[in-house]
Amino acid sequence: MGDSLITVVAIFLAAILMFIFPLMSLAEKNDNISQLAVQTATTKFVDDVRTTGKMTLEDYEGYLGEINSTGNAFEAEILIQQLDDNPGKKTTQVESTKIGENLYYNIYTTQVMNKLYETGRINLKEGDIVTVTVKNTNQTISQLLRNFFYTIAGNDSYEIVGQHSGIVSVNASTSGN
Amino acid sequence: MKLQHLAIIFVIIIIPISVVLSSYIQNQIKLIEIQTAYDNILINSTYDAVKAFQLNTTNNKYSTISDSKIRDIEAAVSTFYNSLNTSMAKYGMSSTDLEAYTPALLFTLYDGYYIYSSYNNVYSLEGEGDEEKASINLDEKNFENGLKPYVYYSAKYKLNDGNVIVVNYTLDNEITVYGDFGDGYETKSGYLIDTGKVKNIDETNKTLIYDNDIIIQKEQLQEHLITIENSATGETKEGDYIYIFYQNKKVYLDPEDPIYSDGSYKIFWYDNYTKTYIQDAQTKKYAQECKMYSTSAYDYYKEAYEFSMWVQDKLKDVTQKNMLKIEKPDEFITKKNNPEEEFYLSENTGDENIFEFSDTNDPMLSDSTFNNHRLAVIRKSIETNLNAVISSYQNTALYEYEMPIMSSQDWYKILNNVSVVSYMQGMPMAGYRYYNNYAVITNNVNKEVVTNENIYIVTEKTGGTDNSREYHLPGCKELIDGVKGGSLSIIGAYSTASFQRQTVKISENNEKHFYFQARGGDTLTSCYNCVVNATGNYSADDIIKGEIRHYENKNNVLYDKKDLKEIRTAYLKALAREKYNLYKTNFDLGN
Repeated sequence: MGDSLITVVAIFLAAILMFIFPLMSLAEKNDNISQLAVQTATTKFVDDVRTTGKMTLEDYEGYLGEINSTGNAFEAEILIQQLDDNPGKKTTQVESTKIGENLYYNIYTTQVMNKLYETGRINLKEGDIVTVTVKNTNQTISQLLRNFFYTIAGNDSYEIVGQHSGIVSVNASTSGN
Repeated sequence: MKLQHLAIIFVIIIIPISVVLSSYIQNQIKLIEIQTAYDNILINSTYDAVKAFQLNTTNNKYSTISDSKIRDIEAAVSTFYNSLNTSMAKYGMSSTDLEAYTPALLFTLYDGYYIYSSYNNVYSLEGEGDEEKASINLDEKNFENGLKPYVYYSAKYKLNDGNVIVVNYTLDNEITVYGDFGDGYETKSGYLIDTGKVKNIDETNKTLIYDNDIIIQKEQLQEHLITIENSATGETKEGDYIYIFYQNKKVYLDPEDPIYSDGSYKIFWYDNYTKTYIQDAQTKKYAQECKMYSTSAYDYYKEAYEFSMWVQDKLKDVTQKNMLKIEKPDEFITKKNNPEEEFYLSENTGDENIFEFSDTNDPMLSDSTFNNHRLAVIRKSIETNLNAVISSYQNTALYEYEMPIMSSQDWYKILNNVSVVSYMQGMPMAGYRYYNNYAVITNNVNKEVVTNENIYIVTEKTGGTDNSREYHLPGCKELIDGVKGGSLSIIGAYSTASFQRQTVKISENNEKHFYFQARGGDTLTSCYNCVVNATGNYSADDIIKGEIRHYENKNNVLYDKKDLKEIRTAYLKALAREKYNLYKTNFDLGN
């Protein structure tokens, strides 16, 4: 009786050691690699926007395609902060000498998407700030396996995340392609 | 063997594999992180270089003179290295290391480019200790970094009659040509336009009609200035002044007591923030004749028309097949028996005549044959020279420098704007790879070139009394709708450089700021639909063409020539005027 119980435990342990452990470790590596790919794609996308001054639907869809090719589903959050250098600047009043009072207007993902689908592109100018954050929305295999042992609760239970931001360095060109 | 043993063996095998794999992946992640950090540093340092160039040139009245330009570029180079040094310090790089890892910096300007790199034709040292002295023996072992000679965007063509001519291109539709065109050696330069669009040239009234409905005539230009009246007390004066351009310099009319007793205008140059009254007879005569009305726009179209007619006459049947190779000027770029050579240039314009202008080949538009060929020539010229510079760069023996392949998007940026491109390669990263990348930053606020999008249109509300003005990009939807619907009226259009903040330095701690276009106490703001906020504006090309179509459904014409007439008149006039008044060293040679 005692022996068979130990055998059952041993089989159980062996199964965990032989299958689940390597699977978990491989799944985690897989996530790491996805993380790498997502981070690289995000950096490239944001840097392109920064140096060309424009975000096009084509670029955005290419970027989504690239991150989705890791086999996960993602949610991309885009935040564009637009510099408004109008207040206190372009007048002939006394305050016009003040600098550093510039405001930023924030445009969030849905507004960005609306504009992108409406005209195919968003033109930015020097001084604007672009931030892109992507998180996976599906459960990756490693998350699934981990949840089998212990569960992490909450909304921010993402595994793969890519983020990059920067200041736009040039006014968008409005002629040509 | 028992199951447990198998499990243990399995674990013994899998653990090292897993450990090695995870450390490899960790290293890769680190590598990417370093690479991203380096990319960022390179972009930021290049941006700093552009910014330095921009600040130095916009505040320098003599920035277009070549000595002064070299000085500005050298300042930009040192800004680049300073910025790179500061950011790279945490990665343990010294400034000498960084110089070694940046094989070239490229500065593209209006009609040519500078390459900053190492050259080896420097003095060597002979002897040792006290005996050491400089020798004129160029042993090609010593290197020094510096600007290489200016290279023009030029190409040679062998005409069908056997004569070889040279065409110097620029960032816009201006060219300079020299060679024997059949009547002996000639040098000419000017702007190219579609000659079919210019009609009814009236020299006495200085008017002409462009593209059927745009009347180009003389106009009055005005700017707001702060002048130092008394430098000892620091007394300044603000005012709006009418101005004209004479010999590429702004000449202002003093509104108080504008006419001297002899009947001539009281005019001045705005030098060092003070009024320098002009006594020069020629300038005075010109001001008198034009009555302080600018005829630059008319002159631009008229001269461009005459030049384009001449070019069409002499170079009508020139195609890309007439072009000679940049590196081997005795060979054509194409061979009949080797069609592969068609790929010498990045754009293949086939048998189309480059210098024969029509609706489909309007040099002002970015998709014309002329423009495609121009871009391809400039690209080839830069590629050829840069490739030679980077591959012969031998600052360290550890790494073989090669010019990276640059994306077509990056080329597009380089070919249409004044820009700085920096190359960084050979830095070891986490022991795995060498870093190899480049950064392109363009500069669209400068006095080098007025591109199609470098014009802002100033409007005010029709019938409004609140003295508020707004400026727009030519393709702004709000502007087009406002002007079409009659709610906005156009006051004028000026180059983007005149909307930059100007600083008057009165004394060490006393500075004042003003804007050229914020006239007479009016507030001037940038439009929230186009300049401040990001929306897809229509392209400047569409405004030149006079037709805006939906970006997906090309059959859907949103605005036609009638809707755009007022905007086009203001825009095309301003574009012509601003282009005509840029100071160019090369331009005046031929005329």
